[in-house]
Amino acid sequence: MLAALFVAMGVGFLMGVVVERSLIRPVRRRSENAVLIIGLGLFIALNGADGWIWGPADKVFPQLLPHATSDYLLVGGARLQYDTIGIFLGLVLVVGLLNVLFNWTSLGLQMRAVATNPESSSLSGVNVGRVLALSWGISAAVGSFAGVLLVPVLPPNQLDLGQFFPILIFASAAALFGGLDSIMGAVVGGLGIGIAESLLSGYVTILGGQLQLGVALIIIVVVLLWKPTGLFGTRRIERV
Amino acid sequence: MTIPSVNGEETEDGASVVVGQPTRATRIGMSALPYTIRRKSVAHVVLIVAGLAAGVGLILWGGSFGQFNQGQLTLVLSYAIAISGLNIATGYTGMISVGHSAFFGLGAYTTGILVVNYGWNALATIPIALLVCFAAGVIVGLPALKIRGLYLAVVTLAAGVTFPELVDRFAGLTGGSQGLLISLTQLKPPDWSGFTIGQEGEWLYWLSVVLLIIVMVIVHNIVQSRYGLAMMAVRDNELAASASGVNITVLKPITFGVSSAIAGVGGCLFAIYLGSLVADDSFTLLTAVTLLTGLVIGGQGTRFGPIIGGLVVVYVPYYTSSIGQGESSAVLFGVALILVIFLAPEGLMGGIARLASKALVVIPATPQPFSPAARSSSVDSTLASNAPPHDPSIGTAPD
Amino acid sequence: MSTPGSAAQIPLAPNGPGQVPLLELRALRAGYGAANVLHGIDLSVDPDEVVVVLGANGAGKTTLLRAIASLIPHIGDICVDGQVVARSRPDDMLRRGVGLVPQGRGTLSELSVRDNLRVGAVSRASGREVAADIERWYEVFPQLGKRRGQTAGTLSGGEQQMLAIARAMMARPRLLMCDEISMGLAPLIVTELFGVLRQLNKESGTALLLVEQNAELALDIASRVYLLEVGSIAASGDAATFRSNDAIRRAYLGYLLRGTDHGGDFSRSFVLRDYIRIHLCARRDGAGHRLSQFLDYKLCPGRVRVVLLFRRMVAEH
Repeated sequence: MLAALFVAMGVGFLMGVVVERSLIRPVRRRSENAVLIIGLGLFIALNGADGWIWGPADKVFPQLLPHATSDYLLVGGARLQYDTIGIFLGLVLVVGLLNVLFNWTSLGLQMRAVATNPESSSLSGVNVGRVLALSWGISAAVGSFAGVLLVPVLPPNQLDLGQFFPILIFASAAALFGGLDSIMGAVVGGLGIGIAESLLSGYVTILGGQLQLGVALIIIVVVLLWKPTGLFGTRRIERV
Repeated sequence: MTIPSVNGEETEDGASVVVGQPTRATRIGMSALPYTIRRKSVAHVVLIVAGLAAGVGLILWGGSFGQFNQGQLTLVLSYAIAISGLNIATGYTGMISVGHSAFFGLGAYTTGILVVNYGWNALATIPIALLVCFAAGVIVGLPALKIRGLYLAVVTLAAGVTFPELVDRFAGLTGGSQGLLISLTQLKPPDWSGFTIGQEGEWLYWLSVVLLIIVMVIVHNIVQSRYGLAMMAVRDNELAASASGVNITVLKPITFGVSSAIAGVGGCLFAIYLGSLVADDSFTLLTAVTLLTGLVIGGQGTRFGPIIGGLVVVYVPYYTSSIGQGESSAVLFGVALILVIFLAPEGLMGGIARLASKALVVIPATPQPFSPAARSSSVDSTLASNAPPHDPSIGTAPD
Repeated sequence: MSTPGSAAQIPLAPNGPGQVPLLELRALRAGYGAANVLHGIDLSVDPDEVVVVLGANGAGKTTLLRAIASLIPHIGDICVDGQVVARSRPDDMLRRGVGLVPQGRGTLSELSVRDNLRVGAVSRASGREVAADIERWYEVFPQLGKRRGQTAGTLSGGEQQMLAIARAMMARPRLLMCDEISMGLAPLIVTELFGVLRQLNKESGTALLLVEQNAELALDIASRVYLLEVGSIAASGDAATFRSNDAIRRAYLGYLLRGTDHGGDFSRSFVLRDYIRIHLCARRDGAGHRLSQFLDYKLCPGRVRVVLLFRRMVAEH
């Protein structure tokens, strides 16, 4: 089971590198919108291809973590499901590794340099193309890892074509909310919204139970109005 | 002094290093391509008339279809109108919206609610839907003042996601997840239209055609005006546009409002056509992505692109539903989106236009010189004698 | 005034006997898209040399350095150590020993000062040597040492320029190219920077290719000078000849240097450049002729009065 996980992450890594090389690199210079549409196109095509190759019906998915309703930890009257704890630990692991990558390795330094000023980095000896390809590869591998963890937890607890669209929405919104250049932002943003949205939906009755996603996104919009480049994102100074 | 001429060389990223010696345009008698036609000349008028005739022919052909196919066309037209609306915000002003399904749905539900709950005539609901969607659009567009780019897409995402949830929340008004049903009697064609009961389909088809034409004329006028120029300036370089005097504070929300209003009109038609509104089926985020897909494939920033977009969005899934277990249309759309960005950023319409311009180009009319004899004041003669020798190439900056 | 394009005749200082130039450019052309900026440049830099390229705005100085650093494509030969370098990437050129301090400093503004220096050293293997180098640069530029943890974008212009030089030098290039490092900086800081550059050249033997608008300080440490005018080398020679030749100075450098080591009269006043020339190259007219025009702007001392001398030339294809 664990081996399959690593294979999945490996495949994800390769896909990320290939996508960056072939699809993103030529278009990066043009505009943000172009990259967004390519991303959208990629999602639609790959999701459809999944259905085409493996059929659109739901599939049973092996459970990595104990998931029965009786598997929980009682903490001060609240039930912490084991699988939730497991996912949380996974999150801590990923964030920890990424932090080490960015702050303690040469590759991480090069990635941060390229994010700030690709031309200057290139002049300093950084192979910008390779750094970009690797970053996409890592990003895709983390995505694969997240997918494997999430599928058993989200309804319908099985492999279903339709569940990936909301994941895309939540992930994008959380990333943008936290600020595109901050890992901490993504974590804090994602967690913060989830908690705020649950609390609001539970305790503020006018909203009823149906406005969950909407409330989450409206919170994001309000915060973006306050910080237009995300909670922890750095302000970009543009030159005309 | 001569400027040394060199051979041109193409580099791997397509940038040309040096311009080669300019070659004379090939002129083989009168059969040189591309043909050029001057505006306001006879040939130009003939071209326009031919185009109009072709358009009318297509419309009449559609009018002769059977009920099902005509219904499909009506669907195409209502999507085309919605995509036209999206085109104004995304194609011409550069504000990407992944939430236009909300305005599409808002228009639809406005019509639905007014007809079902208040007994309004379906046609009369359209202006109301227009106003409601405009207001909603302005509200959603307000954050665009502070937020830009991908972050703005999140705002539109909020609209697109919240709409179906709001519909469910106010189920008393909207029928919630059961849906809103508009009975056929309420959709009876008005007497002045010449159609009777039983001809709702035809009535709706012609209504859609007329509305699409009106929308396209409006869009054309907006784009050709100074306002349109301002929109495109904002799309290409917002800071420069703002520094050049474009009032971004007014332009962005208003443009978004106009865009939403037009999308709402498309929604009204959709409601009348379908007769049954279920937000979770027809006005979800997936719809918003579909609209965006249609716009990009059809052609952002072009006038006829939305029509192609509507055709693509309706017919591609229909004809490919049997291939690939129903998922082939998704794969096709995804691949098409990527191909469009690479090969033809202005969509199918842009690609067609580019190919057509290899054969035929319409160039501006010859400016009429004013005759010096017509003016006799001394000022003019002084000007005439002091002017430097006329040379049309002076002051032309190199590209 | 000499006719446009003719180079003043200055004896070219010969290269050292049998020395392979560190950098050599042969018939280099480069530009941006359809705009051709450099029209065939021949230039060379020997190891240990300090070469200065002077020129007005728009002459093509920055384009020259960017072409050498492989940031933009070029036609013609760029040779390092006598070997022609095919189109490569900037990090590739750095590996061959050619580093660039770009115009505008190219600060990695979101990284700390220390990280900026670490980035400069990515092409090197030994971590300990890199750390030692960083410490040494903190000594050369104490302002950087004081702010080693600070975000680089918050540094002043002069400090960013110091950081840019240090960052470029972290890779230990054999040839350091500097693009207008004096631009926008106070004279005191510029003097300090040029002092560091001279020290660099003398102590570690780093060759320098400096591009400057402001000639005075650069000429002090130069061994050879090229004058770039509208994309071509208008004059070249050794620095001493340049400094002492009155006609050259008056014609090209635009101002007269103070000092007692220059023979002849010299004025006490500081005169702006005599003239600047703008070259417009228009596309073909209806008859297929390519038109070019030179606009000469003459500046009178004292007041800034611009008299437009307008000349138009037609070139046969």
